[in-house]
Amino acid sequence: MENRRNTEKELDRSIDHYLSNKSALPSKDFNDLVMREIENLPSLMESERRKIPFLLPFSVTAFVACLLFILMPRNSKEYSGIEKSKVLLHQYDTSPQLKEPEKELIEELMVIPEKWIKTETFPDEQTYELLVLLDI
Amino acid sequence: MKNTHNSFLPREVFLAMSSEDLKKQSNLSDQQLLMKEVARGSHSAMEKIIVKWKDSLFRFFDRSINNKADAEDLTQRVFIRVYQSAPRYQPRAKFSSYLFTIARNLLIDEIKKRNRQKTSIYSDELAQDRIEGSGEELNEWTEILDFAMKEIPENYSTALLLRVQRELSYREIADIMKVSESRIKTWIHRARNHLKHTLKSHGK
Repeated sequence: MENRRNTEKELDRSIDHYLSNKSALPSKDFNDLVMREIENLPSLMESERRKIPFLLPFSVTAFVACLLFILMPRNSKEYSGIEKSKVLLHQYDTSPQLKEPEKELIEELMVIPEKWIKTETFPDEQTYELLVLLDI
Repeated sequence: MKNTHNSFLPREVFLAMSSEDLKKQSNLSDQQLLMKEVARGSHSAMEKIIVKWKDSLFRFFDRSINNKADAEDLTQRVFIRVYQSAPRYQPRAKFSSYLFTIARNLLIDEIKKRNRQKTSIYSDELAQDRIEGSGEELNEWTEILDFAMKEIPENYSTALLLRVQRELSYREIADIMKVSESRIKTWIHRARNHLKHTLKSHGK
């Protein structure tokens, strides 16, 4: 039992030693290589500034898309509302549509000839009764 | 190193305040203050970060992918990414957590790339041949463990390496790997068991 525990501990120690990998080191000129690489990159301020014009068209497009998205449903709603009311008006417009000749006839009837404007005066009620009595 | 875990400082405040004021008024680490200098374009601050962290990162990558040239390349890429992201850096967590989160992302990309190119399969076959072919080479602990490490999934080996090499707490590893602490404990336990089992199976 004791032996087994010692073996386990020994294994753990060996594994830890292997994993810690303390002898491994990067090459001596590693710092110079990385720094050279970094110096070749555009400066951070510059790259941040560069991002703005690069992102500008995308943000403008996105903004316009959002604007359209917000406005489109409302417009279409209004449009559909107008269209709907037109249809309803059309549906409920039950006034008979007159055919042209009938229309003309009515118009003619409605026009009173000038000679008829001088209408004769009707007798009043009492005179009318008297005329009836006299059987005239 | 001062503990800055969970001490959130908005980026605008971080960039606006002078390093001296930040040092006095907050519990930011030296590395986090150096990042502020890097964000202002200081190359000497970047060099200090490289000097401090290059060995740790190199050892981590070397054990993860077992290739010194690639480990060096990945280490270099971590620093370049740190430099480029300095203006957007926010000292939310310990600097080492930030650094190893970048390192792990690059490692995953590298493993994906290798899987696409099938180089890992080739090197696995080579390792298998070496282990099966020669009794003398079998006696080399490092070779056996190198082979065993290749069999472990990336998340298991990363958790184990962060625990052993960096001596991070389970909580810190969980933060880097974006999983629960209990899962980290399980991964480390399984990884260690696999290494032990492989050693035992080779008579160690």
